[in-house]
Amino acid sequence: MRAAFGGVVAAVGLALSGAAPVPADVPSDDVVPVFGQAFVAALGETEERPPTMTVSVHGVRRFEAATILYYSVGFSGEAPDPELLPVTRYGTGPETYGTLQASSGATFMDTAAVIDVPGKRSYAALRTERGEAVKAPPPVAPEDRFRLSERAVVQWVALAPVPKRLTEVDVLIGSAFVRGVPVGDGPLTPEVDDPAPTVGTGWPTIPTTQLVDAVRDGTRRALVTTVRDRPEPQPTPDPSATSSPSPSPSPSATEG
Amino acid sequence: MTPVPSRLSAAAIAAALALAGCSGESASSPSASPTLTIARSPTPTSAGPTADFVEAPEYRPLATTTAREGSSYSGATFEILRLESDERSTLLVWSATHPRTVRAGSDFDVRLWESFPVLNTKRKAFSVLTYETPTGETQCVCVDMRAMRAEPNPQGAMYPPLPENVTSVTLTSPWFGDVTVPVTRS
Repeated sequence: MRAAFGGVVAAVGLALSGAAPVPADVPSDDVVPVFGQAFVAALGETEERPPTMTVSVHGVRRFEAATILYYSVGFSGEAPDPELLPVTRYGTGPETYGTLQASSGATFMDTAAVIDVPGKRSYAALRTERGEAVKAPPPVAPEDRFRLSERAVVQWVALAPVPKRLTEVDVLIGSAFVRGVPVGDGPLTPEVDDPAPTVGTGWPTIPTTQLVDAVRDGTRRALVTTVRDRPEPQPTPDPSATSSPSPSPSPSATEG
Repeated sequence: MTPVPSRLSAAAIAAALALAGCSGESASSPSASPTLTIARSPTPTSAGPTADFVEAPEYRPLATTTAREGSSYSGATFEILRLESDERSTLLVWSATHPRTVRAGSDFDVRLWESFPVLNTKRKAFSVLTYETPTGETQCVCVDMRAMRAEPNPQGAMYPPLPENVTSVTLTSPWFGDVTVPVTRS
């Protein structure tokens, strides 16, 4: 890995040199897993289009009292002013209903979930006593604008525990789905004290006591699949007799 | 720390192959550039470390259709961006754009799950996954987008897996005209 991607390791160091220094005890050649990425948009109150945020899924890990989803958020250019448009308003924001969510919060962290379609279950965010998702402190301070510009910071959210048999899940984070994420065991390491470290400088320390104390009722949902038989196809009418009003009218689906 | 290529890379390649014509013979005008998809995947050899974590794959439309008159989306254009299926699940991602910013029409409702696009094969119709809320409402496993505007803002929905031999499906919905889309196997 190091030989193959040595140039990238060096570039990571350069990228971080303008931001917070990398702690000396953080190895620089650890692996940063990326299982999927998506652009997440925000609908601002003005006609000006806010910059698009990138969400990367770094891991789904099984803890004793929760499932931890590690992800990061960042911007390829300058991040918006957190006082005007915090990252918590991206994705499924205050104007939306949250699907699958069990918390009363309205940030995209609150609507995070892992989905086991074969097992017909979803696992939503655990809650605090106030009803908000148990999650990393979001980077919404004024100084976070710099930390989010042209880089990403790691976040986590605690979800309902998944069964031991489950080895792969789909993830809903923000307004994006990421499919086929493997479920690992325990925290990503090395853990650091920074609750929202820049990607590449280690992983936030998960407060396990907070997980144990979390409210978890209603966080598991039973999913329902609806698959219907289609009627037998009718004989194709003479195309010269009528014209179709639909832009792509021919349901020429292949077998199934 | 270095990023590692995940299964996303393989998925991107699979998508690229599908878009290049290896499946979905009946799809309507997929205009994607396979090489673009591969280049934008988070592989450590294709981009620097910044791009690995603040860039994401951009999906060009697999198919396009227009909103039905009379729906809340009237005047909108729908672009179908992703239709990926494996033995576990299926993901559909689309974007509805409108010349004006339009908020919260009656069709913008995750409780109206039967309005969400149905994936039709020759013999089966696959609806979006649903669940029941504590208040007894049925909602879809989907992204709830309460507004649309001129710029794309993708939203997705989860479905059961499609049969292995299905290479394309026709999407039907009260929102838009029927459209046939190739299935990417991931």
